[in-house]
Amino acid sequence: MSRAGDHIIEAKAISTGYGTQVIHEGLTFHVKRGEIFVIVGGSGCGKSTLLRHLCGLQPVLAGTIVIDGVPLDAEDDAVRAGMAQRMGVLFQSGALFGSLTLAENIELVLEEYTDLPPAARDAVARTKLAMVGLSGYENYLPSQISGGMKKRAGLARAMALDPPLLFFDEPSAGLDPVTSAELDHLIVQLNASLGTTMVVVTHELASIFTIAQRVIMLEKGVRGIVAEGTPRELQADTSRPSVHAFFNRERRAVRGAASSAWERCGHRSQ
Amino acid sequence: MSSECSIAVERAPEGVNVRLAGALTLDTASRAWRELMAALCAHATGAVALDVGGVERFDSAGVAVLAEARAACAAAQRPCQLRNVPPHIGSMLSLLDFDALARPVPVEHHHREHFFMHVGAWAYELAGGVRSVFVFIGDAFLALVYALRHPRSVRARDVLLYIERAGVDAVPIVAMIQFLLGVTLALLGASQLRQFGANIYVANLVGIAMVQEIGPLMTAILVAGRSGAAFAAEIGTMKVSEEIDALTAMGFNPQRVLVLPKVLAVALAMPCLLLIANVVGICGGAVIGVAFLNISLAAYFNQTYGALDVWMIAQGLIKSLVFAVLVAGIGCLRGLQVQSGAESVGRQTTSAVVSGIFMIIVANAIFTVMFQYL
Repeated sequence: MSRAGDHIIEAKAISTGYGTQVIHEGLTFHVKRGEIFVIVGGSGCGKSTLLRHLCGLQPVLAGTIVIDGVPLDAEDDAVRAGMAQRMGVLFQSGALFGSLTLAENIELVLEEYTDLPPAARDAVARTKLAMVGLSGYENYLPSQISGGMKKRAGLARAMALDPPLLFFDEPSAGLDPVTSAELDHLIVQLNASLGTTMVVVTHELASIFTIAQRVIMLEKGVRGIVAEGTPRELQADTSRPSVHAFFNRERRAVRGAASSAWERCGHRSQ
Repeated sequence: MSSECSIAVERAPEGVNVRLAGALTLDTASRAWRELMAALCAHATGAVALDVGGVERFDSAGVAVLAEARAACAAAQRPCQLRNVPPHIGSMLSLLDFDALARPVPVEHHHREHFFMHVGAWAYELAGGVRSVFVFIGDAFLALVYALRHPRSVRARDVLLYIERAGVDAVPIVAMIQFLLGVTLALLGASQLRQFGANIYVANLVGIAMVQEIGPLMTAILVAGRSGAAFAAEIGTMKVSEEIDALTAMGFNPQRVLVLPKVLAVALAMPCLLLIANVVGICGGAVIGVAFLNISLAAYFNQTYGALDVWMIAQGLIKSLVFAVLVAGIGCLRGLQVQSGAESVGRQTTSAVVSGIFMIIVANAIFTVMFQYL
């Protein structure tokens, strides 16, 4: 299989959407090997749709996505199956199989794609769970663990085959700030230790500043990318009001909420 | 970069040195696992040094192989240490507590349960199931009483929707099956009655069988397969996605909002379906009578009219009303019994159809015996 130099993903003039509904047009960007690449934007701007296209769950309406030198729309079934093994996806809810234990969720993938004996599959599943901090939870069912643990277990399953590319759909969704920060820390740690390329969709500012090495921002009205760079660069960018507002919203929101609360109480904010 | 894993074992004063080189990844782990364990068995005494300095490619399967080797040494009370750990292996090991990993918790697989545990679990489940049936019947009865006292509390739009889905949409399949059953019954009856020159009695056979037995039974079985399963899947999916909890939290009674409209709709639709099924089934018999038995259409229907009475038709309608309540009630009950996950929805949907059909057959037998003595 040919390997595409520094870029593990190349999106060339892609149009995304469902059927006749076009969400983005002419998107062109790349993801470098080994980086944490974050797709941001407000609700409804099509972040998750773009992710579904990137991980091959949905065909693009126009253009080409090349992953590791192979076009995603490759005709050959064997090539497509090979690509599926080279990427993992962590879905918003974790998407664990409810009737299987955490270890069995991971072993299901190993059983399908490797010739490891059962004892070795057990050992690999334990290793994966240990990597995400879930040692000792091998025999738990997904219904017996918390939301944050489900995400960790989903991540362990996504990493079952040690893929060089991982996709995350809103990893912070539904988590408290502490658990969310722990997951962000885990993402950074795994990236640093394993060198896995990570593509993350999120709108959480704290997550963006913790994990992102490079960011693209999508906007609903524009149907495309409005900004690209590091989080700090985009925060400092005053040329585009929507980008500036997005990356500085926490400070403004807190200030706004505080002053309106004081006003309701009949005081003036200082 | 090598894509194979080589394992070299050499004796050392304190025990044995195992040199691993090349790739220790998912692709090579299976063979490396076997060879490493064989090497440790062949040199069963003394300390073990695992030299991983030559390992160029390494992933979590490699971690598992090393952890397993270390666990095997620990079980045999042999010291075991990693040597010449390169940075790329070190960074991966730093993600986890390697020593804890080498003291594994056994992964349990569900299929190792004892026979008596299965029997116990089955009995426990059965008792729980019986209890939930009684609770369900009680709740449904209370909901019905409330609905009778407050008729406007029943959402008429929902009832009409389910009448359409369970009744109107089922007409084509019910009609087709009843027609074919009428044809089959007439042909079978004719083959026997012809011997006595009693062809005309085919009309009696088809008419009575359709109206009293086959009509109510087949209509109920088809509705159980279509709507009983659909109700179980619909309510089960709502339960998994916490929609039923949301209804309860908002102060709605799920029995009144979800179960009652469905049961009422099927109870109204099923007798109508039965009447259509009876007519079409008799027409199926008439086709055979006219085409193969030289009976005129008027004579056939005249004979059928003479063979049937109002009480026979009423018996069929009474049966179909009870079957309707059973099918819809069991479908809703199974939906409410869903615990969590897609597998549970599938299991309860299957159970809705199987137990629905079982209950229809049992009730039909009871009715047939009862009507014989009335």
